[in-house]
Amino acid sequence: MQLDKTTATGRPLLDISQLEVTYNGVAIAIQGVSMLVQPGKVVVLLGRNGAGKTTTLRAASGFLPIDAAKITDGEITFDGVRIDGKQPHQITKLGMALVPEREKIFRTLTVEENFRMVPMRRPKERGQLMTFIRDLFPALQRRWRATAGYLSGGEIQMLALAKTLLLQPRLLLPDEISLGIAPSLVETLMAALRRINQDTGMAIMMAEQNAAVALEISDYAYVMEAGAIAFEGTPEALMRNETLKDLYLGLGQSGTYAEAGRQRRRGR
Amino acid sequence: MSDIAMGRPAEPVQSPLEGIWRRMAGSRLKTSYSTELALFRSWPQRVAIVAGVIFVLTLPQTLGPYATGVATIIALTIPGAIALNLLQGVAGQVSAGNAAFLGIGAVVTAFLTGRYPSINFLIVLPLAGLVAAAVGAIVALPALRVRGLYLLISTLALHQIIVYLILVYQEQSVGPAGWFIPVPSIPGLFSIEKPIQWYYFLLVFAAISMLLMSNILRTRIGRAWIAIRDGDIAAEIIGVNVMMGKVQAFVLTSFVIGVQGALFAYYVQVIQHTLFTFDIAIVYISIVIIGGMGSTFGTVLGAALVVGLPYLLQQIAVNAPSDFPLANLFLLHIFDLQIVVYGLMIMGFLLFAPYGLVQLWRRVIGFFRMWPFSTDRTSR
Repeated sequence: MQLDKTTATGRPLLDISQLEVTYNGVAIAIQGVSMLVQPGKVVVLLGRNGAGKTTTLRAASGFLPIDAAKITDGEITFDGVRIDGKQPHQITKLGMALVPEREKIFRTLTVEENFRMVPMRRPKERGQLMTFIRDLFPALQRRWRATAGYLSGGEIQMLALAKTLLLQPRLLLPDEISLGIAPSLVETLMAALRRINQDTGMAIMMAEQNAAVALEISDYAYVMEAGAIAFEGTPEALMRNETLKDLYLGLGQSGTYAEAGRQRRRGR
Repeated sequence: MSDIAMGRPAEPVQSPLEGIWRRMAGSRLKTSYSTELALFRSWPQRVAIVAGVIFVLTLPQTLGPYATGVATIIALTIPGAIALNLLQGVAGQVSAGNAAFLGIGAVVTAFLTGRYPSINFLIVLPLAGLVAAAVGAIVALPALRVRGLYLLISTLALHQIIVYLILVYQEQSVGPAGWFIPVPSIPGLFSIEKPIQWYYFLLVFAAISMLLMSNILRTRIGRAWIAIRDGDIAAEIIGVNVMMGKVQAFVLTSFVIGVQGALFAYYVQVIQHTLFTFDIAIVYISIVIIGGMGSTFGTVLGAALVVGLPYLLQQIAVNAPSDFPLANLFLLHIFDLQIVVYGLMIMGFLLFAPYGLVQLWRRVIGFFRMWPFSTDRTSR
């Protein structure tokens, strides 16, 4: 099943160039950020709280006004079309879909109704996609008639992700889907992202704090720090850079996030 | 622009109604096309509907003129209640603007019939609706920025402004007596004069508005409204134009209330600015809450109860034995009593039956459908 039908042209799917975002007209959140997402690739934005990951995703998807923020410099093109300044629903229709941290599902509706709310670009493919989704998240299948507001955190993430797939985007923007989720579920979600990417050819640009699991499925990574890109490169390049591992990724010698934390505490 | 579409007050305001939407069962989406297309899902329901239709159609013959009079007012109320339920129960936009839009429709009717005495009501009704819809589009502007209680306050302001404008216009054009509205008729075919004619005439519009609501819930627009009610961010994510959806909701419901205002003008025959009190707006809000938000059938039940109750109280008061203690006091303060009863009903429904009358109805239906099992699972 191929969702992505673009770009034999060789141009990047998403091109963010010298982006500057200002909150409330005064506070500059990110500055001079340039990123590329090639069709069919998985890109991860890493960095601490407040580094500018969410701001970047929201700038790309048009959701900045939620927090009274604005693009004050730079430009964003999606598949050759300028999208900065466009409204979120317009960008969604172009084929980019954000999975935000909060407010991503309809809490009063059931799981099934949540799916039915999504207006598809190619409705004939609904059956095929739903089969893919049921297969991707068997856990959701069991909660089909449950009210979405009563789902667990992990199930909400699955629903949000699956619901977004129905939009048939060419670029998926999951914002910290591992946040507050049990470690085993994080692996499930990451595996799902990898499968989405591989089976449908959908490109993914995700913001993630959990560097270890995110890097495993990524083709390219940007490390953000204080509103700018501190480092970019392939996961292998990142892992070779010891300073980076210690400073930004929380990946000490042991290689896992938890282990690194434990070591840091022991070191003190 | 987009910051209007997504804008909100710095502090998220929780509407007192949000909890109800959260648990609401009124506008469940159907799960297959057959159930989607079937208006009535089971044979007992079909029987009940047919019985209900027969009851409504033969009401003047069976229950007599007094009940017909009350039923006529209920039928007149239904389009406005449906409109508010679409706006509030489906699209999630709280409004206290019913009386204002009713007034706009009525005054447009007064203006048109005054200037062109031979104008047909079939032309007046849509024009009244269109003027109200235009005002509705303006009211939608604050709805793009605020929600919940703040929106309620801005519609309250709208009410005051409109009533004041009607007052000024009345003073300048006809004076304190108000406008006289002619009898609606199609020359050579029929004219609506007798109470029983009014009953059937208004019944048609009540039925049209009910069909409008139950159908709009199946369309892309209706679903977009539900999405906006449940979360504007979640709605934008799936590609719903939140700004457009809110404007559509206000325009369409204002149109319906405008038409209702024209019908109201024709029905009462004399229009004055004093008719459009804030109490009317509150009555419509009560109907929607008591009936069941998001539910067409619930709206009808709510309208019947809320409109019918004062007449019922009156009947009780009139027929009570005169030596009954407090009977005179009861009669004397019948209008104050009504307000108290409304208030108690709203509180009672919010506390004990937050889905409204339609929830109680579903429990009864569920009792038979699930027999011999417990009804708990259907009364959700």
